[in-house]
Amino acid sequence: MAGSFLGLSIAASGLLVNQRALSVNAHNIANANTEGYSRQRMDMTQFRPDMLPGGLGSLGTGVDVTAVKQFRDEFMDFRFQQENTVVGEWTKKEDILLTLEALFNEPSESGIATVVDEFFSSLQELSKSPELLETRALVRQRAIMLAENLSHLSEGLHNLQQDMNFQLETAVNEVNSLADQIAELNSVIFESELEGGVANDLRDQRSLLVDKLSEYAELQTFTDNQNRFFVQINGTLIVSHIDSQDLVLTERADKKNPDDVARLTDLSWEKGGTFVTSGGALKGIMDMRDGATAESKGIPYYVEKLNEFADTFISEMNRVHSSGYDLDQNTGTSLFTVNDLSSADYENAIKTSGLDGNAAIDLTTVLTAGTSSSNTEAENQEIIRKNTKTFFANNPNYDGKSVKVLSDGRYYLSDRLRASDITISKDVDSDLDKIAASSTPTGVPGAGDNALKLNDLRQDSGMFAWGSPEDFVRSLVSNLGVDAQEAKRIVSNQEAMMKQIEFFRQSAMGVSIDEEMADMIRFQNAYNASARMLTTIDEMLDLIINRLGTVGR
Amino acid sequence: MRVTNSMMVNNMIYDLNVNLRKMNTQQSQLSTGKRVQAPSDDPVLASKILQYRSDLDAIDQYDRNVTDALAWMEVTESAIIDVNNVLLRARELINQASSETNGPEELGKIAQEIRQLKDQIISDGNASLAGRYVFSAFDKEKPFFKDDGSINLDITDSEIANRSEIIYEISVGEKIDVSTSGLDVFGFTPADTIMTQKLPSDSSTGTGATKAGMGVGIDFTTDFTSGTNDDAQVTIAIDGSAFNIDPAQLTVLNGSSNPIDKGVLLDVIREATNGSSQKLSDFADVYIDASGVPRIESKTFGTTSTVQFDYTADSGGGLTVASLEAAFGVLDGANVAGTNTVNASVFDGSKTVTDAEVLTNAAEWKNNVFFVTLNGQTEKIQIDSGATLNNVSDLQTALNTALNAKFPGSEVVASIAGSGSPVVFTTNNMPNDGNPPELQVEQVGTTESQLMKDFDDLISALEVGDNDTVSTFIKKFDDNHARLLTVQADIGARVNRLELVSSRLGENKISMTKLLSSAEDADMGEVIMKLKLSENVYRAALSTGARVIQPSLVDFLR
Repeated sequence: MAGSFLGLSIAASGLLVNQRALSVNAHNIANANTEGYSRQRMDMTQFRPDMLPGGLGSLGTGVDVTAVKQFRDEFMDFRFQQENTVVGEWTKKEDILLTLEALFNEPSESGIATVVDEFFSSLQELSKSPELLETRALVRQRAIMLAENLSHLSEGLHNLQQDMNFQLETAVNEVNSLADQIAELNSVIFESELEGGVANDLRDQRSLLVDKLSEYAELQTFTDNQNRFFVQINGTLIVSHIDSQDLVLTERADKKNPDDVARLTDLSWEKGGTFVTSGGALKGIMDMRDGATAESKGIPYYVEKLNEFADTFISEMNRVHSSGYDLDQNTGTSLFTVNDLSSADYENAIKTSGLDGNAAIDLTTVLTAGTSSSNTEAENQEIIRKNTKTFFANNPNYDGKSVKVLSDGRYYLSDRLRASDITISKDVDSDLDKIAASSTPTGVPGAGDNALKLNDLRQDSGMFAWGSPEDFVRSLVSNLGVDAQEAKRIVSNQEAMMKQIEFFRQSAMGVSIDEEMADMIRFQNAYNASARMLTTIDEMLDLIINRLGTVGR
Repeated sequence: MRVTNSMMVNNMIYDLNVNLRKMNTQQSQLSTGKRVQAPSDDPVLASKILQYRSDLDAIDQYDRNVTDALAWMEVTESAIIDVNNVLLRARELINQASSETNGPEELGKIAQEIRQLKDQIISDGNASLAGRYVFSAFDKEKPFFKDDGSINLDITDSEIANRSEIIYEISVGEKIDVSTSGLDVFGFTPADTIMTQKLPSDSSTGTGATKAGMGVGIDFTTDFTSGTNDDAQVTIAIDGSAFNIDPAQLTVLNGSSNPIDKGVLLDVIREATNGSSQKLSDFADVYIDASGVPRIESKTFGTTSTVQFDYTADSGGGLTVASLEAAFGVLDGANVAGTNTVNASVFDGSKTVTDAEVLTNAAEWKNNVFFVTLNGQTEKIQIDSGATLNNVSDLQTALNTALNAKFPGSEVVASIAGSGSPVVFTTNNMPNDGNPPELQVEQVGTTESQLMKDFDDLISALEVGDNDTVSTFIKKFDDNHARLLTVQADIGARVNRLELVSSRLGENKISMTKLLSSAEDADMGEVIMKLKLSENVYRAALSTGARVIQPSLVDFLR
């Protein structure tokens, strides 16, 4: 037998619960545009019913709140983070490769390819009228342009590398700050959930931070059986419940690649161990900053290629130029040197300290083996190139070094020249007569055969492994193009994929205003009806208490 | 699937972005007119564009070269045509003069005109293009003739044997000689024959110095750690200076690998130091040669250049001298040395000179100019006009005085062993850098052209009124004319070739420009069409987006 006041308490529970539901409603609407917010629902259930005696069934006793839950698809979160790592890596790479493209500025009327073309054109003019100072001035001007273009490119690459290093520092600060925030939230969430509830909003915030962190490195996240949350990067814990481990940058003692800029940093864990990740912006930045191989073409790769071009091209130019005779019948002058040195100083520098600061190795004996004065110059050159190849195969520790012929006709093994150092020689810079256009002393001033020999190098397909100088520039540019194209494609594919994942994610966790409005009406109506119920019961009680039993009074 | 408002907004923004990106590409294609803005737009095409550009650039340059060559040839040709006309007029005059009816007065007038014609030839011989004389070979800045008609240039014997060529490149690997030697046009008379036979015109190359070097059969599996006290010493003496390999370094070698890394071992050898802590690498070259054998080579040349190995055994009885010998493949104390330079140039002995000849030809010897080239440096040598030349010994002294003025320090010395011996030139400039000394002696081959000589002879014949002699000049002038015709035909052929190449270059240029354009230029019509299409899509996206994101249930709740 139900008590008289049961109805009151049922109606009151209806009022209370629906009011709460409206609050959750309001919270959803208010956070409709909050980043990382997942919509919440209040679950409600009936109070335990009173069982009516005599098998009459049960009598309901009202409604109760069981939990405020959030809608979140954890698998989608995982996929989001995974793909976000790829986005982070390739967006960085795309960024840098597009900058590189802009730096090389090809195809255009002012790129390195054009400068090389123009230099060779000027040599043709020189071959026609070597006695004229105008044509000599033209050659000098074009040679200066070539040298400046090379050093400008090299400088641009170095600046970019420096900038990468700076970007790495910024990224590391961001990663450390994110890890700290996650650890702090972990502590708050852990405390809030001690009683067994779920800290919905705090968890949303943490998920958002993990999303952001996933842009920088490939993450593994897990929660242990004590409800403690962990984040790993490649097996090392960056967040371990309420603790976080910082990433630290230390200046490199030795350069990784010979022509790196100074003071590059290496990334390691605060508690020791080098930092390794297979994805993310950190990898993107470090790959581009340090990648020197054909598999991972970063800035050092392009620096090395540019140096290879500058070194080989300029050494070959000097080889032919120094064998020719200038207007004063002098021979042995280099057309290009480094850092404005004169030919003599340049050759001296190579001979005494050209190989890692030590004396260059004179390889004439081994390289000229098999050549003969009865061969043509081209045949001998072919033999020397073959010998050079054999030499480098036999002496693998001299990889990346180069062989130069100096004016004494001997072959020296030395370091590669750096594109950033190339200038025209001081001799030619101060005296146009020093350009050696004739290949014989008697041909001075009218013979331009040495200028033609210089010009013939344009078609020398054996100069580089990639072919002639123009082939080399073309290959370099198309290599860069292929890389940048790949990065662009991956980024755009990844964007589409992210869009899809985000779509699914939002489908589960996004706030729909329409839905909230409909719920609002639903809860409001239930609230209104409960209130009405209360009034009715109140009237019933009023009837019983105040008006019942007044008969005959 | 649940769809929320923010999902729709995000989708709309993403799609609008995709549209905008497409339109941006099309816009930049239209505003630059180029299909490819950056290599990443199309790497293959970008590489082709670079290739076509540089080919086109080369064609342009070849075209300029052909134009220049044609201009040069035209000046040459018109000068020769003019010479031709002058010769025809001269022949007429000779015909006229050979007739017996002409008195001395008429002959004098004819001589007068012939003189004018000669001046005309001189001015033709000095024909120039932009201040460069076309018949002067490499001496383009000097006129071919002096005012008196003699040759203004130093024509050497080798120039007579092989004419200088001025080469223009007119297409890849295709070269043309644009020069026409005045020697071919006007002929030449050989210089004083007596002198030519007495002074050698020859060149000789000596032998360069060599340096000491030895291949070392190093056994890379040697265990250098077997030294008990680790004080086994390997010494390599370069040019007599002993460099000691740090014993500690040797034992370290086996620490990491067996066999020892070749590069590492060579580095250890290179780092060996001498008493004044200089490194071996500054005095010797150490590397692995073509047959894979390590080689140590002194950096100096000549007999002072030596390489020597010495060993000291480990004091604890570990590494012995024998085991070190086996390790390095060189016996203790083994030593190689370089060789010295061999003198340059001893000339052909058949060209002898005697006391009598010197006395007779003293004046010619003094007149004679010759050129001595030492290691690429050419000097003009002439015996002092005041010198006494009575015998070969005087000649030798005079020659050496002249030589010493240009090659101080007796770098080049002339010697004549005695009457009846040849003149021999020797150099003592022996660069100690492996390069052989080169000495060349040449003399002037001619100073006068055949045509000028004929003119001069004709004028003097006319002046003395010798009709018979004058008539012999018909034949001589015909010879001159025939020579001229040969040259003219040759020039004609070359001009012809240039014109062919020029038209071919023109065609190449057109086809290359077409290729470049098809690779590089955007197809405006197509791009505009596509842009229009993208624009329509964009507009549709905007208008549907604007409709869809606006209303919500809120608008309809009262």
